[in-house]
Amino acid sequence: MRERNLAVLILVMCLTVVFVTGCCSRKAVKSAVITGEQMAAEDQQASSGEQMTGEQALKEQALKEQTLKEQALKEQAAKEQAAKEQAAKEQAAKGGMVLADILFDFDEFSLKPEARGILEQHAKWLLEHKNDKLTIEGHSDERGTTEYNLALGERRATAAMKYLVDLGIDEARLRTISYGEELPLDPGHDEAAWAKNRRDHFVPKK
Amino acid sequence: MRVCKCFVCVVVISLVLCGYHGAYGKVYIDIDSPTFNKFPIAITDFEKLKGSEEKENLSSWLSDALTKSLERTGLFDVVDKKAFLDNQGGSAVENIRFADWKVIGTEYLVKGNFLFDGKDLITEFRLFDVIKREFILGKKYYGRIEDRREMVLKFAGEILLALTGNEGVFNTKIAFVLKGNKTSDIYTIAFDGYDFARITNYNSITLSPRWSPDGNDISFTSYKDSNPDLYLMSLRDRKAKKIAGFRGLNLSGAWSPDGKRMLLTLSKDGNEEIYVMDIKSGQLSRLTNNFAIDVSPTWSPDGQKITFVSDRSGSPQVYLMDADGSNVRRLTYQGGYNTSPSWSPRGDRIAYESMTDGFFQIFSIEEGGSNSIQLTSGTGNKESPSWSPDGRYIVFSSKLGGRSKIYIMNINGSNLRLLYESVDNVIGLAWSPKF
Repeated sequence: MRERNLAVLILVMCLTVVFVTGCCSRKAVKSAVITGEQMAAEDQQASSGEQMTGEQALKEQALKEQTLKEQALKEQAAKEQAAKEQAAKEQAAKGGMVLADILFDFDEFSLKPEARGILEQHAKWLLEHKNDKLTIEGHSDERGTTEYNLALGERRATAAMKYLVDLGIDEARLRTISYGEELPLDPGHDEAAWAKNRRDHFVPKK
Repeated sequence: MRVCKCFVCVVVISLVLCGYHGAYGKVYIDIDSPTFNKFPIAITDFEKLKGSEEKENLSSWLSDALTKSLERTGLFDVVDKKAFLDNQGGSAVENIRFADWKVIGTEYLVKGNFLFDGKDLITEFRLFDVIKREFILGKKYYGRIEDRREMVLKFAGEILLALTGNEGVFNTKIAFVLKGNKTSDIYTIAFDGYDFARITNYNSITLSPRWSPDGNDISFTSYKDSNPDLYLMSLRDRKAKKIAGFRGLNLSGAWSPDGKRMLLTLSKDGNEEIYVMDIKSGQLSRLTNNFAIDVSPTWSPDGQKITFVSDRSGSPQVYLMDADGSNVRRLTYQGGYNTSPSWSPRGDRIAYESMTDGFFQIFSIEEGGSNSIQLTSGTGNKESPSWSPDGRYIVFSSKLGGRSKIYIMNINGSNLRLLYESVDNVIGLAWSPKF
C-alpha cells in the first residue's frame, strides 16, 4: 500500500516540472554546441584515451600516429646527430675546445676537486676568447621532485659561475639556466646514468 | 564540460524536495572505516521510450557509463548484467520484482529510460533500495546527445550523495605533465578516465600545472621563451599570459583559496625563495629569507598557513610557516628526502613523498607532525600526491621500468585504482576543484 502511495506521489512529482539549473536561450545553446564540437575535435587530435565509437578508425589513427612518431623520432635523432657534428665543427673552429661537463654528487651542488680543475681550464679558455659568452646549464638526475631538482640545477650552475668569476671572468659574459631533471644526458635509470646526468653543461656563444 | 553545464536541464522526480535526504538511513558513511562494505548495485540497460530513435547504443551506453563512473569511486560493486533475473521494463515501484534483485545479491538498483528525437535527448534515472523495496530518488535530464556523459556524471553524484552524504568528485579532472624526448606538455584527464585532453603544445619544457580555485585557469612554468617563466592560462580560450619572467627560476606554486594571490618560487635575488604575488597587480612580497633551497609552497585550505620544501637542515624536508612567512617549523623528520607536500582540503593532513629503501613512497602526516602514515609500498617510485577536492582520495604517479601510471587511492592507501598509463614519463599531478 505504501508503495502505491509512493508511486502516486512520484507521478505527481513527475508532472511538477522543477528546473533546478536554469535553461539558457536557444541562441546560447547553439553557440555552446559549436564550441563543444570544436573542443572535441581538438581533443580527438591529441587523444589516446577511450572513445566509445569508431574504435577501428581510432586504432588506425593510432597506428599512423605511432608510425609518424617513430619516423619523427628517427628524423630527430638524425637531426640531433647532424647538429652535434655541426657543434663539434664549430667548437673545433673555435680552437678545438669542447668545454667538458662537470659532475656532482646526489643532492649536492658543491664543486668537487675534479670540477674545479675543469673550471680552471674553462676559465683559461674564456680569458683567451674574450668575445665569447658562456651559458652554464645546471642539471640533476631523475630522482626527486621536479621543483626541487630545478632549484638544485640552479645551484649547480650558480656554483660554477661563482667559481669562474673568482677566477677573473667577467660575470656579464656568463649566464646560468637550470633544466633540473628535464634534459638527461643518459636516459637510463641506474646510478651510471644518474652520475652522468648530475652535471653542469657549458655552451659557448660568439 | 563546463560549457555544457547550464544547458542540461534537470527535473527532479523525487522526494528530494520533501527533505528526503535527511530521512534516508545510510547517509554519512565513513568509507575509510575498516568495516565499510561496498554498495552492491545493479544497473539495467536503459529503456528506449516509444517514438525514440536509437543512437550509438544509448541503451547500453548509459548503463555502462554509469557503471564505470561508480566503479571508479571504489565504493560500489556493480552486479554483472548476466546475473539479472528481472528483465521486465518499466521503472515504477510496482513493476519491479525486488525479490529477484535481492536474490542476486544487490541492495540498490538503477533503472532508466531515454527519448532521443535525433536532436534532443531526454534521459530519466531512478534509484531504488532493493532491501526496503523503496524508490530513493529520480532525475530527468534534458539536453543534447553530446551531453549524455554529463547526465550520467550528474546522476552518479546524486547516487553518492544519497548513500554517503557527499556527492563525490565525478565532475573533476586531473592535470599532469607528460614528458616526451626533450619536451613536455600539460594534459588533463577526467576522474573516470574519460576526456583525455592536451592543454599545452609549445614544443618546449612545460611543467607544474596548478588549478585556480574555480577551475577556470591553470598556472604552469614553461621554457617556451628559453627561460623557466610562469604563465597563467584560461582554459576557455587556451590563451596563456606570462605573469612572472624574472631572471632565473619562476616556479609555479599555488593559488590562494580566494584565487587572488599565488605562491611562487623565484631565484631572482640569487637563491630560491618563496614569494606571494597579488595576481591582478603583480605585486610581490617575499616570505622566506634563507640561503637554503625553498620550493613547492602550498596553502592550507583556510589560507592561514603554508607548507613548503626546504633543504635548510641539509636535506630536503617539509616545513610549515604562517601565511606571512613567520613561525617556520619543520614537519618531517623521518627519512632523508621528503618533498611534494599537498594539503588535504579537509585541512587535517599533509601528503608528501618520501624516499624509503631506495624508492619514493607516498606518506601523509598531521599538521602537528604526528601520526605519519606510509600509504604506498613496493618497488617503483610513487610521486606527486594530490588530494581530491572532497578529501576522500589521493592521486599519484608511479614509475616502474619504462611505464608511468596514474593511480587513485583512498586516503588510507586502500582501494588502489589505475587511471592512466603511458610509456612517456608522467609527473606533476594536480587534482582540479569541482567544476
